[in-house]
Amino acid sequence: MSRAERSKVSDAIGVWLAVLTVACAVPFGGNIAAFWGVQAMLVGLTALVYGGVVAIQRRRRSTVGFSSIWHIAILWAVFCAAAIFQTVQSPAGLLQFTVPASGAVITPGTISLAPGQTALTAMQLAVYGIVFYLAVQLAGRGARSEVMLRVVFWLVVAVAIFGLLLSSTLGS
Amino acid sequence: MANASSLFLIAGGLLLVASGGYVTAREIQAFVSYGETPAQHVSAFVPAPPPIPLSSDGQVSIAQDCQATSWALDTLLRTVEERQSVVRSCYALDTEITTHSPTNGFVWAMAAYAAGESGQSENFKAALQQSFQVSPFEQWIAEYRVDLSERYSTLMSPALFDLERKDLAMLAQSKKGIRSIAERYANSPDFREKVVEVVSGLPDSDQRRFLAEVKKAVSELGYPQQP
Repeated sequence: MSRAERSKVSDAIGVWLAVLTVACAVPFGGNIAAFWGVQAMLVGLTALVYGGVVAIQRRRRSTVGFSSIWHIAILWAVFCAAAIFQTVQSPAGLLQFTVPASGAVITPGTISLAPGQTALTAMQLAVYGIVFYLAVQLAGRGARSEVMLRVVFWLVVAVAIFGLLLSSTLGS
Repeated sequence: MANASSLFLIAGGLLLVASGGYVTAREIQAFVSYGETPAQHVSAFVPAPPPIPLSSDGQVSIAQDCQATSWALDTLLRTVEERQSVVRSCYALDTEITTHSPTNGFVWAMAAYAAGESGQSENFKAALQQSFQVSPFEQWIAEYRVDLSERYSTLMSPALFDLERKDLAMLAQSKKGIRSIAERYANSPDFREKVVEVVSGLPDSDQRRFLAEVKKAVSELGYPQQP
């Protein structure tokens, strides 16, 4: 694969990522967990393809290295770990929680009182981190970042028009 | 050799594809197995309910599907044993959800419904009490609890009747809740004494508001009004 061909692949992935990010709001960004799963698969596939392209290129250095974003990377890892930790089953009776409104004491099995929902949140956090990292890598080159920004801008305009149409026709 | 960036992306990508696939399958499985015909609705829960979804919305939704199936006409026309199998499955499903999410007051109330339908007095009392304890001030759940308390009044204990009065007092003071009590007051003569007892203990302004809502409900229901 020549340098020009590799660059074209990266351009296409950049545009695809921009489209995916904005399209997630309709309906992936809605509060429907099944769509969150689809979103995670699509972002995961994008990361696999781009990671494969970078591996084939045998680049020694990435566009933006971890050393430039280490503080954000640590915060992200801590958030993901904290969410996962809250879903781990604890020994019976270890956790106690008092419901403020009634004073009732309940003994949940996990720190999270809705561990399934918290596991979904952990997955969402992982998706956001990978999207951020991909965007940083792909937009690291001037011309491509401009194309990605334009795609995001026009898609946001399209989503806003779609929202206005929905609100004027369906009333919500 | 691949650099750290590509390794991170490939590992992260694999993780997201696997977790996303699992989540998608788990979330839609319950709704796909629910089917479209009444017979498919029943077979979705009998002999065993499907795995519960991860999301709170999905969990409430599948519990509601089970409950709707248990009182659907097709289910009511089946034998008592077949209908009881559906109700028992609903109870098993509801308690599995509340084991993981013990503060879900609505699913606790649905567990009380399933226990009440199958005549499990102790389970009914425990589930209804738990619903009250974890969601004492959620108007829409309180409306449902009052409905359960009236429907299964023979299973109620004095302590649960006290909790029902608290629900009624809360509903009588809320904008939406007052409407549901007023309608029940107009419809059900047996319910009136209990409501009068609760409402008479409230401030004058709440009592006046309640009376206005009752008059409105009576006129909307088409009952002749006393002069």
